[in-house]
Amino acid sequence: MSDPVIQVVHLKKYYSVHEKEPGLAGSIKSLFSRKYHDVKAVDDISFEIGEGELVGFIGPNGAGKTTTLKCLSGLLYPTDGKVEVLGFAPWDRKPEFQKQFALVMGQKNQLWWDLPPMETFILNKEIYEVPEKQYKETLDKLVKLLDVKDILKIQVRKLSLGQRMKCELIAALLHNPKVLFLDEPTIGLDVVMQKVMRDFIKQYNRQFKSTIMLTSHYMGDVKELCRRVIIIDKGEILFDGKLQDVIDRFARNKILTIVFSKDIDQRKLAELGEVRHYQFPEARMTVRRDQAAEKAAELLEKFPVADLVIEEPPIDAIIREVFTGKMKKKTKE
Amino acid sequence: MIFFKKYIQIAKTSWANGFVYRLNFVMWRIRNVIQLLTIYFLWFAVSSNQDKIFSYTQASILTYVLGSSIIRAMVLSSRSIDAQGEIASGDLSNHLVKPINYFIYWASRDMSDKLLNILFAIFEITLLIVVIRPPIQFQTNLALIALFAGSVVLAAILFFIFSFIISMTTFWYYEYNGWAQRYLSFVILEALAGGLFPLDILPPTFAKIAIVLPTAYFIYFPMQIYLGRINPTQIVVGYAVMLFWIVALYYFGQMLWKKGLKVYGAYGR
Amino acid sequence: MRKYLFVWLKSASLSAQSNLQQKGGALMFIAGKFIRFGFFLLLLILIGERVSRISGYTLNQMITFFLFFNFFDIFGQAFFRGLYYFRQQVISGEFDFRLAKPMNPLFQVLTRHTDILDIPLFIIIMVALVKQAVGMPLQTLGILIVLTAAGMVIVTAIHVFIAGLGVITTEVDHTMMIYRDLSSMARVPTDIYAPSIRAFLTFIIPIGIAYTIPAKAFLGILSSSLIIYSIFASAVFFTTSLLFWRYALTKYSSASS
Repeated sequence: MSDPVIQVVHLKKYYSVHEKEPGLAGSIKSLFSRKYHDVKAVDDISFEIGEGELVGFIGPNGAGKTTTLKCLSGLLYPTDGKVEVLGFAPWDRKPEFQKQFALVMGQKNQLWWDLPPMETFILNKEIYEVPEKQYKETLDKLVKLLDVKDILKIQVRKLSLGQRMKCELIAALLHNPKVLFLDEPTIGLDVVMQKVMRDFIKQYNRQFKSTIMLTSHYMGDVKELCRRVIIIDKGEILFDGKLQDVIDRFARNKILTIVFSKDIDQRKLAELGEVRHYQFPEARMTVRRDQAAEKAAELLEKFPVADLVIEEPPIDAIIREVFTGKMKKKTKE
Repeated sequence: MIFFKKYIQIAKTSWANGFVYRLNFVMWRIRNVIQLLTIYFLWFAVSSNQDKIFSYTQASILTYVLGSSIIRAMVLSSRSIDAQGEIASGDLSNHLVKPINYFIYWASRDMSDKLLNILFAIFEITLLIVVIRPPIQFQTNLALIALFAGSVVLAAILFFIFSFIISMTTFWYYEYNGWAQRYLSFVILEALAGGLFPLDILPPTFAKIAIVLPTAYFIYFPMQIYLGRINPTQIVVGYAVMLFWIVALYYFGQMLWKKGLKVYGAYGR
Repeated sequence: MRKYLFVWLKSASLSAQSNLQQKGGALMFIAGKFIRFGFFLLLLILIGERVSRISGYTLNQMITFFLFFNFFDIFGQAFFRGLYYFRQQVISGEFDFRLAKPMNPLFQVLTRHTDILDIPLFIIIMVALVKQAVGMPLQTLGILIVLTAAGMVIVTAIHVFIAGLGVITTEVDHTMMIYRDLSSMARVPTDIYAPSIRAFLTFIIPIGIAYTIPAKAFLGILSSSLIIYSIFASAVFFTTSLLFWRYALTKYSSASS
């Protein structure tokens, strides 16, 4: 890897929050004394991301994903540690830095709510000082890619969530950012629109060679888009490496789907592995990963099998394994 | 030049946005007229059958009331109070990641907003003058009119900084999205800016204190110049106090902004 | 009836809690209300020192009018604060839930919030008025109580009317503020205004009746015909406003998202 575009070293970010007991009495009590405690949103994480990488940043709600992205965007001052993006310390908020990256938050919008998206685009063109020619080219390309030609002159508030998200992306990409932070870009979107977004992000990453960091709790996003994932929970990195490695390491089982030609005795089937579901003619069962081939052979031998498929368990299930403490300490590849 | 271009675009977009809320704006102007009438009729009743009240003739006190309404539109009308909402909700983030100056962003929006308000205020006052024919004092001294205009411009700048400082307190006190301190500032302004009554009717000690506060320069000071009620020395001193407040509050505001961002960064709304 | 009382007390306690939760802000709001009250009182006193009578009223009488204005103004704000949130409820469709509940929706809309931040000043004004009322002849006192009740009914009617408008037009906040602005004309006796404005405030928007007639009864300068008119008007306005509210509900188009 040449010089990393993003470098995070021992980043820490603690919040202090106050507690309140329920009820009116609790409210009055909290008037006089408030208890505070520290929440470790991000607790000593380190990673590097190289140019052109598309990295998925995954974890449950409150894991520290958004906090990390906000630190990288210069919105948050870290409690401790070092962060460098494109050679800048983000919280200096130098215009030269800001012109080279963009942040898209699925739950917040920068579009002017009461005006058509076009107005925000024009405004952003001026704010980022994008030359007229480049602006036109980029806008044309993005509008075509996302197929939003017809909605550019409609008030944002009247757009559907999917249409709005597409326009949010355009507004964020007009200045051709080298680094792109996407925080839950597909949240709330329907399946079709999620797919459109993914395809777009993939294509954008390929075409513009931009570095993209994406958080999501839809595993589908990550599986489709990212070769590398960083898994974070309770402010700590649990895993950083190739998505395939997560599967190899944490998927202890494989899933066999069998179609039988004749009804069979379910109890006999259970001797080979855990039967999740059986309704003639189909059965689903899980077997230990290292024994999958062996068991499959046994199945073919002992039962009237019409069809047999061996699969990895769904990525969601694997990640769930990761979070439920199957891996205690962080592992760096 | 390219620097101004983006802010001109911001003003334009803000203007376009304002037109979406036509009804809101019209209602807001109606409220202004009602509030003006309330104060006007009160002073009309008080000054009737009196030769002079607090050294004001009926014409001069009513001119004061009507004039302060136009000055309100020029000085006190403001979009930038929305900054506090952005700070409280975290929408400020949208601006922080962009290469713009947040103050100039709001100043641009304020200017387009003021333009609209001034047009309406002039129309309203003209209408009122035609309909209720109040006794009015016209200023004919060109030098005074120029000084009056200059003081209004400075007042607008001073108010912008003052109001932004109120907004920035939201970094620390984000309860009610910062509306508590904003409300408090409105209440204090209503009296100490001279919109409810001219400040020189206060007992002398209070008047002396009120006059050195920045609030006195939003409405009271410009109107005193227009009515020719203060002498050249007082005008010069007034201008000096005003400039002092502009510089002092500007630096104070800069400091608050730096500290506030640290706090904002620490909480991460 | 017990259910309504319980719901009202519960929601009042909840709004009180959320206010106390934000103690700094709550203190600033309360301070602001006192300051605004204080400044206008100051203005009255300053004027009263120079002008012996304003449209025939003495300083003390002006202050009584001002106290009554505050009594009714705060009454509306403190107890019907829920209306200030109504627009949001209609737009977001939350109002659908109110309509679906086995409880009068109007009651829910008006009393959803009770603003305890208004209560300190409210108590002080009541104490000031009661202190002056001590020793009044019983008959005057009786009339005063009846007229004050009539005033409260009118203030309620105005809020019901605004709620009805809100259902039809989804516009509440501005109507509310315009009502507040208009009613602030009653900080001084409406007799000081031009006859046309006075008529407007008495017959069209009955703020003049609600706010100033009890004050006049208090000062013993009220003609008996106005007493009857006041009671009659409050009954008419209240009935009309309820009819209007019912009509508004038939025009309700649930939030079309």
